[in-house]
Amino acid sequence: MVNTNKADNIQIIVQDKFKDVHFSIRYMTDNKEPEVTMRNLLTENHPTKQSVNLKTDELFALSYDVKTMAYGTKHVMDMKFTTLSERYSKEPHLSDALDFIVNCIKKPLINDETFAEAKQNMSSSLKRIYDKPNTLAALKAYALGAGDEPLSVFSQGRADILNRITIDDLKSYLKKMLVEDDVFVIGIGQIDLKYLDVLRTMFPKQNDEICASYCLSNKPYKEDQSSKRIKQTSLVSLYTMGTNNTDPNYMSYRVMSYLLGTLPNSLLFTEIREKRNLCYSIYSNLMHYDGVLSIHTGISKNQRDLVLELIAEQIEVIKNDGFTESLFLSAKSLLKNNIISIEDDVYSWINMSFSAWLLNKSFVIEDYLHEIDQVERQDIINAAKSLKRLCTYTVVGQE
Amino acid sequence: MKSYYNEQLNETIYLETLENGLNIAVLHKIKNVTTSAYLAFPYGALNLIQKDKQGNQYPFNPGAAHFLEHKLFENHKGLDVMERFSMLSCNVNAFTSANETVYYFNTTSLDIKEPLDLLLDFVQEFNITAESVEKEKQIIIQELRSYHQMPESRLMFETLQALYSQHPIKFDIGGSEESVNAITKEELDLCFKLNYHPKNALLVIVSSMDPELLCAIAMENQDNKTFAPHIQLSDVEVIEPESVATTLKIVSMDIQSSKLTYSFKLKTQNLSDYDRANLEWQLRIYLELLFTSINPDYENWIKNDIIHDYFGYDVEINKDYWYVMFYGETENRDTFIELIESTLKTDITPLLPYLRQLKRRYLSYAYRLLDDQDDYAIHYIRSYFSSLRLEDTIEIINNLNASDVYKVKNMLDTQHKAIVIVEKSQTGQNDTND
Repeated sequence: MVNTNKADNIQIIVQDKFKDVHFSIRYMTDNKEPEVTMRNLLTENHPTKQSVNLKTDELFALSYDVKTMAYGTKHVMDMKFTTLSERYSKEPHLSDALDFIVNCIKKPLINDETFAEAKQNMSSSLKRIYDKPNTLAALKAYALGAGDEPLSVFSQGRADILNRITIDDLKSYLKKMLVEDDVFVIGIGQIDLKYLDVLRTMFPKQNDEICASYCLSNKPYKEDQSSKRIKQTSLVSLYTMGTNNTDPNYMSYRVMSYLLGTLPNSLLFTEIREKRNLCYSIYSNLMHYDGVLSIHTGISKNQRDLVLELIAEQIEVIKNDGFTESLFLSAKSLLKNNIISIEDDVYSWINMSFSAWLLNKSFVIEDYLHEIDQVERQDIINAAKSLKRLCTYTVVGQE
Repeated sequence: MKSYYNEQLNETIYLETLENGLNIAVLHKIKNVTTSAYLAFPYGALNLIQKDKQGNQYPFNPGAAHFLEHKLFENHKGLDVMERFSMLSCNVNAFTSANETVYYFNTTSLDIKEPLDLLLDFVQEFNITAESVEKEKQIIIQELRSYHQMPESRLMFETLQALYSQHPIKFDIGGSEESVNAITKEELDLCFKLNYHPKNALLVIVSSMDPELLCAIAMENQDNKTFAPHIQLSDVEVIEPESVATTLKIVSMDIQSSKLTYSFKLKTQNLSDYDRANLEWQLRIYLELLFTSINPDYENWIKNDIIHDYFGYDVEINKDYWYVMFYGETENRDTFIELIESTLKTDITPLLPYLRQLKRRYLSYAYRLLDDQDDYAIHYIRSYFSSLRLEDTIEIINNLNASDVYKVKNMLDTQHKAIVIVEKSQTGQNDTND
């Protein structure tokens, strides 16, 4: 049932239920430094000047949002654009908007002033990210557990590398990126299909085979911590799975994570928050392209060992087939619900379409639902049994 | 049900009021696959001292509305509410804000009767033990701590505390650790009894399903229930002085980037909801023209390192608290303050021609809002409780004119100002390069 048709790198989904038209243009290369920092610096060269503002407002609040993220071995620069559909603007502005978008991407304004501004913004942004204790704990855990594998590369770049980048480095990197990166483009909304050919000319496909997924290797369990003068302690634990989203049985890992720590009544939430009142938030998350499951929570520092013990116990509950049938069915049913609802959420739709493209297939909701239906209790047990505890990082609060 | 079609927005809304007073609005999205239902009450963190028509006053601890929201998820008739919603393929959640509490679920299931009944049942019945109230305190305190250690949230919280000495806006929505510890089962029982009558409630459903069918489910559910008589409540007026509570507040945090706000109170006036919304838009446009890249000076501020990407403003024109706030991230606070004060005094006339483009931008945003079910529903709920409609926002934006925007300059008197600095502590670790 899985649709294995290789998807085009240019996709338009004609959909008239949205009042906006959305485009996402994604440039992708290997996830390594110093390229990652360079790409993040490019994202800061977005248009902020008065003349650009005038133009975007003229194009019906065309919004321009550039973000970077890691997909396993790949680093992605996502340029999202949104503008009002011509059905509501009553003016044919989409062609102008597209020209503007492509111009922003291919000919960004990089001069001494914008370069200095971009460096300042990126430096401040990195500090803000590290000032959030739960984010800090997660980033430290990735670095601790991944060694020199891709998960250790922070998708938002590094301050020390940033300091060394010159304007000439950035200009030459942009030229290289525009030529060598793989590009994926998707448009969703009331868009004429004539734009398919226009976009194909603008963004030709580079490689036939892209492999973003890998499995983080298992290593001896490690713990580390740092302290901050805050009241709460942030804790992140990582587990390797020995598989990733290229595995035909990967859906059982998704269902297992739902049951463990994603459902509103997950095992972690029920035991650690509802029964023991040890935290406000606790959840598990799958890093599909790295083959990693992470668990995140905020607790009191003197409860750390108990919480780690309880987390391990909940995984044992799954391994020992100790979860209720209703929890198992809930996990499957809510995961299906969340897949179906993607059709009402443009950004989730874009992300799922991109993920499917990375896996060399098309995003077909029915295929995902079928895979969920096929998951049995034993698959969940097997998925839990494959988890190997990799590391725990704690940002200890002082209370 | 009465239906209203707006041709310009291409949206239809169905409205009904049930016999017990419950108001229902179906925002009909015929092409969506998700159904979302929101049960909302105009009772939030600011409603700290209420009074009835007889003059009886009911004071609550800060954070009581938020605590009540937590406790309503307690087991319903011996069954776990979260688990029951999950079993029905529904995501369920709730939030408490300054002025309202909202419980909601979404699902793609076509069998909507059971989750809709469950939403109405678990929110309309309150039966908890004192022991469970005590247990919940630990969870809420962890929640408060998680927000308190986020530098941006802390900056906003400290700013409101510096501006206001009496008004409940000075409290965190969840209260403080002390106020949470002081809340009792009896207090929550009273909060529920006073504020959760169906006559106060609004049920909003965003769905492609037949509105009559959705309304019939809610009607049947409500027909089977009896409620105590409705108590008409109002808030006890707070006498907030014109002056601020603290003119300069410096808070040390274990962070790498110091942040600050420059904010000032505006003198409140007795205006209608529509006029307040109109005034807030005029002020927003005024500030947008002066303090964003529309202003040619903006690039110089960046070049001179006075501001960077973490810079912005906020304006709040609520019923009884009005303020303007600027926030930024700089070590050079005096230059930042000078920039705000001098820019507020500049002549806005050369920038007024850009009003047309701003109107175009915000009208597009108004359309954009309707594409997101949550945004649409929450905007509808807030407008409804403020006696406004979405069309009012569009009308206000359409009617904005240069002379009205120009006139608000006179209101921007910074006499009652507060400066709040969240500064990096001396021992703050530098983790950025790790």
